[in-house]
Amino acid sequence: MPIVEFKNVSKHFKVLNRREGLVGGLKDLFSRDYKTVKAVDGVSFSVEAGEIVGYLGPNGAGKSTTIKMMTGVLLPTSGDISVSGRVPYKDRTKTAANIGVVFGQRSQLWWSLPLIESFKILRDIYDISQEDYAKQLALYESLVDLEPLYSKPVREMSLGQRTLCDILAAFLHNPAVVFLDEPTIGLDVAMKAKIRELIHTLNRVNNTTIILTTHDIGDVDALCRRIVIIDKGVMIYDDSAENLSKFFGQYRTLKIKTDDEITYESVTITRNEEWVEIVTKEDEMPVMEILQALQKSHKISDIRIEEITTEEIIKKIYAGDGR
Amino acid sequence: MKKYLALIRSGMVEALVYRTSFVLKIVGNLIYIIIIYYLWKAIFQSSGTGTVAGMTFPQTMVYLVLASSLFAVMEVYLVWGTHNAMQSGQIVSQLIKPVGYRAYNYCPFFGAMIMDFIITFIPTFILVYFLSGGYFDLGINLLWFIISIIIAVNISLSIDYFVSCIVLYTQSVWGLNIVKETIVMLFGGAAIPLAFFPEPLKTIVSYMPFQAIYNAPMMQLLGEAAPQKRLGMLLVQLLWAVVVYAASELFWRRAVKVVTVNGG
Repeated sequence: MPIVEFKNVSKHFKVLNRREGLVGGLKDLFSRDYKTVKAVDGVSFSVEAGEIVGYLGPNGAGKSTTIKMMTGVLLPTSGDISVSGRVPYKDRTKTAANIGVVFGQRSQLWWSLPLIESFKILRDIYDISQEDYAKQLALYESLVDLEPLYSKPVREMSLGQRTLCDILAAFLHNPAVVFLDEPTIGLDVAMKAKIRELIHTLNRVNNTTIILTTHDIGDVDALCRRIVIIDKGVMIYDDSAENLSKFFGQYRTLKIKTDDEITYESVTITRNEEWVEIVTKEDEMPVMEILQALQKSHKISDIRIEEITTEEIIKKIYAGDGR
Repeated sequence: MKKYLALIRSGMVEALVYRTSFVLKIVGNLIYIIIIYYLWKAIFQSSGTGTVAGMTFPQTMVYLVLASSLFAVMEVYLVWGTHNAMQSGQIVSQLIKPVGYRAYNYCPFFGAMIMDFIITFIPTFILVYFLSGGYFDLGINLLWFIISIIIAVNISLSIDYFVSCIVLYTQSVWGLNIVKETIVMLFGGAAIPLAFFPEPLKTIVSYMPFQAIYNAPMMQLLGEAAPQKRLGMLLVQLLWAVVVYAASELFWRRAVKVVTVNGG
């Protein structure tokens, strides 16, 4: 039985059409001019226990709205949602006991209290037994150097430390599902690696299901076997990370070193200093064919052929020319 | 139960974190007391008689000093809290806790109030007792007073909770909250003893929930009444507590459905 299930879920917001300037603002006070924004439109997917799913999409695609519906904070306009056997918005507090959430841009720890106090409060409000609590802390201490952070108030922590602690706090009650909303936002490379490793370990140790939204393709490559992509509220991809390149075509990048101005029909060409980059779909326009054509008319001093990365594919999808 | 105690405790600990703010609160209360002392002294001098509205100057001062420090203890910032949480989107992390929003917010306030009560109210109380030469009894009335305060806190929180629900619709509640604060302070009897109100207003105010917040505990503390009358006052308070609680709960259940969360 899937642990998270979305059946044809939509969330529409009614938004006031605002006018410009002071006069416009005054007119808005009496305006009835609403438009409907479809933040999420007919999304269906299900997640099995223990999976790590990357939930991707450009800014404003409806990722956070989906997460907020899964946690029961937002009420869906239509459709059915089930999280570990419960309907989140009907049973919000009970669902909450079984899920953990990290919002990368805001902390849910007690701002002015030392970390260990936050953990103790969480222990009590999630009703964690003394034994489980001790076990989880022992696990944490074996994974990260936590001792020095215990007595530090959260407001004095660096962003990296805070995110780390927020993730640990979300896993503290050993929830069935953890939602990570951009957990590595604003972190340096070393901290990102540390956080990814931590998430990976926590997923393995207790078979915790993880749903992760991110804009960092490194997170996806390091953690997710499966990817769900949403754009403008509509789901456009739900399959394994490996299939992503097959699904969107066998893209390749041909790099040519030349001083000439290059033009070629129906391929994307960008110039990066002395290198000209040509991205092409192998089955429609083979690299070799382009190369042959170009070398007849231009002086080429060097070439390289590269497989397209997940990042490039996502970029193409976001730009809207994926399929 | 354990989860609520943990949250109450968190409020107590948090109240102690910002030590300077604690000191400033006491200083602010002191300044307020000095101002009302001279204000009321002028009122009594200009009246020419020793009593105004049946109260003497020392009576009035004892009432106002205690009522104002009670106000400092019991003032609730739930509306501001909800407003800020709503504006910043932080409300999400409160809604995803396995504790209801009401309890999640009430408990830390209880904790903070307990600390405020001990650190600001009790010293003021002892000071007023000695300065007024033992003006009021220290006996069974203290017990009535404490029970009355506990109910009063609940009424005060529920009123704030009710107004908080409006925030969920409007996203912003600045003006409305100022009105609420003024009404509670004035009609609650924290700014002026209700005895000073002109007749029709006095009767109207006595049928409002606000007088149950400050006036009722003060009457239990300072007034001399038979146990039956005291019990009656307590029951009226209790009735208001239930009514306001129910109203705010019903409103909340409707309001929470329109929650929209700002930002990422």
